[in-house]
Amino acid sequence: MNQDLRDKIEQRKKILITVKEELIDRLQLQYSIDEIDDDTFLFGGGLSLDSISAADIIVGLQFRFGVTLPEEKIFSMRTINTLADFVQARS
Amino acid sequence: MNKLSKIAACYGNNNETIDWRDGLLVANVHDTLEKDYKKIRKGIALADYTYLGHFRVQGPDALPLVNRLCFSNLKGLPNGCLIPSYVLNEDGSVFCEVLVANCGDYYRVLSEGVEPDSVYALFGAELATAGWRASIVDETRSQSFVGLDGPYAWELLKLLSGPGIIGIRHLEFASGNQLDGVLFTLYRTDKTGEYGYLLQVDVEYVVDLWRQLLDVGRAFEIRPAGYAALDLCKLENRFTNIHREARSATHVLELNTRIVASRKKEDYIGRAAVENALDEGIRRRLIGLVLEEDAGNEVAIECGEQLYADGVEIGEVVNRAFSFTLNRWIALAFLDVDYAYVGLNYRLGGQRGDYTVKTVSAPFIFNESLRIRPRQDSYFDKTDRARTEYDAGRIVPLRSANCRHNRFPGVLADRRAYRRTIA
Repeated sequence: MNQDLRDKIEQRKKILITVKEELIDRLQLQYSIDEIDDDTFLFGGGLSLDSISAADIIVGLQFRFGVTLPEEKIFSMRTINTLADFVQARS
Repeated sequence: MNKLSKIAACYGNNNETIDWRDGLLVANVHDTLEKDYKKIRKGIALADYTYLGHFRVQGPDALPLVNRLCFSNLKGLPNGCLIPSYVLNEDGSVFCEVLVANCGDYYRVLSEGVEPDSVYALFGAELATAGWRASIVDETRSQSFVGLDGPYAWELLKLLSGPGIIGIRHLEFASGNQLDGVLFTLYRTDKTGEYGYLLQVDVEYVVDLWRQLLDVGRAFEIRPAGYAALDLCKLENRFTNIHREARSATHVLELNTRIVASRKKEDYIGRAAVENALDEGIRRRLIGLVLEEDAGNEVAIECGEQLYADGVEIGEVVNRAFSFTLNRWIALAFLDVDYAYVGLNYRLGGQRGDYTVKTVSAPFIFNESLRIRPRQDSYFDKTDRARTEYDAGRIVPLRSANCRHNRFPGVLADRRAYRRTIA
């Protein structure tokens, strides 16, 4: 694996781990980081979060990454990976 | 056994092509793939699910038996709710997909991915080995299913069964609905990412139900959609397709199902292989791909094509389709876990040359149904043709009709009043 690819993957991993840590801590999820795949759905299936959790996610992203997720966009954040996309695009 | 779907009696109005699905010949495409697809994504599509297996598990050990058969933990599944899961092989690969319903005094299992007779044989073998105080009844030949999928599927059902239908949430079901005196059970499954329902009916009425839904649904410009369009929608939403990527998976955990795997669950088929994978890790994982725009739409991704990073083979395409929403090719691939991250460009090596694909997050698209509020929105506010009909007084949506609003039973008077308005 070339260095550029390795760096990109490491950067992505860091964001994913931080997003998962924040969700687990803030939402009191009964999972460990390793138990949540990157493409796990947040709402409806997967983590089965609700609208109250959605508000917590917005606060969590602001707290951990300093990024503001508009309330109306939260339900377009469908998976852990889409949250990471949002963070990465604004970091 | 007749290998042609009973609903095939209603085919012939379009350009249907039929193909095998779980041992039954059903419509692959009804009109064109794009037209079928757009009905699912923009309106209401009617789908033939008569190929589903259907089993009733009853008796004192019904729960532990179903739990033994399924990968997911069913303990705590409330009465009136569904859970999607898999039945595994002992090596941890997927045998079939199931939807399990808690019906109170028994469990109902809907299967897809292999012929129902094979599912029944596996269930029967399990039942025989452990002395379960339970019985399994194969109802595949006595009950049948049709599907309603689309952002306005709820509105047609509201017309048929009253506004209480809106209260049926994702993975809930309700029995005792009627259409012209025919009882049906309604399951909210959302299999395409849009509002999606399965209607279970006695097999002798399934053709009538199909015809009546087409008839009542005329105002909504309802059309049948074949399974190719349903598969495409599943792919766009990243819902696992048992006939594609799940069939290519050597282990269920490759399908991003880690959250389902529980070490606390009692024994189930494939448990040893799952626990081994939890300890040792898996070697590859499913990830979404889009063909970069510079490749052009005439270049198709094919299943079986290899992916490369720096000339090293890192994975293989296992599902692909042209997305009419994104106007580009999308695909799923099993990638070496070290490379299975989003936002990376890899080379796709096909017979027609090399192209760049980018790894992307699930899902591929945003669903129209997520924008819709059933208490405010209506199909008749959205489409020009329906709007014209509405303005001309030929369509009276339920909310404007003088209807009783019972939750489930019948509401036949409503439907008849509605039909008179469009006659």
